[in-house]
Amino acid sequence: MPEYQHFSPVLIAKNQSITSCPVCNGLSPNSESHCAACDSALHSRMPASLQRTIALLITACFLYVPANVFNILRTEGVEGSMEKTIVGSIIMFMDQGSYVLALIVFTASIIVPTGKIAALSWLCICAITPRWSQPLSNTRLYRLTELFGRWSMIDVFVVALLSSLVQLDGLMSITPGAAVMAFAGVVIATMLATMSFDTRLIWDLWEKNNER
Amino acid sequence: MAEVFLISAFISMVKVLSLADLELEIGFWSYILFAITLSVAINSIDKLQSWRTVYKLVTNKAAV
Ligand SMILES: [Zn+2]
Repeated sequence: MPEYQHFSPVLIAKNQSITSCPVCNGLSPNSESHCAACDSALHSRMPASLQRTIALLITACFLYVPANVFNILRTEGVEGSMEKTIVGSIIMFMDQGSYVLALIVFTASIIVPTGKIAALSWLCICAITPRWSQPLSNTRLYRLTELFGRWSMIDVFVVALLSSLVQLDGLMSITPGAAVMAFAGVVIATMLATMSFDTRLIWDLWEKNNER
Repeated sequence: MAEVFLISAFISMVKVLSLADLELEIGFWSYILFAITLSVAINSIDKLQSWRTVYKLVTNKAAV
């Protein structure tokens, strides 16, 4: 039994000269470039994982500005036309008395994207400064961002459904605004950022801390 | 994504209800069942077990 097992409950594959497959979790020796079972490319650590994650997070931050500034929906009816931003539509739900819907839209379009950007930034900061790293809670944080990430697509879907359903010629029509594309961009960028963050980086630092 | 789309459908239905009358037909109920069964199916597949089977088929030996 290797000696470092006395102070760490896990064996680290990198130190054993083996690599785990990101798709099928099978273990291969470091010399292999592709997995024997599923033929996907093997990397002991994802190349440029932090750089990619940070770049995508910055993209998401930039896209989040037009997503909130521009209108997400344009309603044209007999009483005239009306344009709404994300926050505006939440306020409209509150005025109508449907607080549950307001809460769902608020969670999906404001809490989830900002929370995701914050959580991933924190994970990147922790990966650079090992002193602050808390591996177990960081892993849980990553799982949460992975789990709730796709729920922010709700807003995009609602706009797509409404603008395809409500097309009554002359009476009423709903058309998507410029913010929808930007918001979809935010969701896609944060999802790609989550995918490009290598969770093994969290545990590398933990091991480094223990060696000190 | 099916369950996310389902919640979005509920929200847009509530929005449309304030403008017009809606009648739900069989396609909607089928979609609810589809979304539920699809998410249960995705959550209950044992990915590692299936890859182990693939590995056995590919290499003709038991995975470690
Ligand atoms: Zn594999």
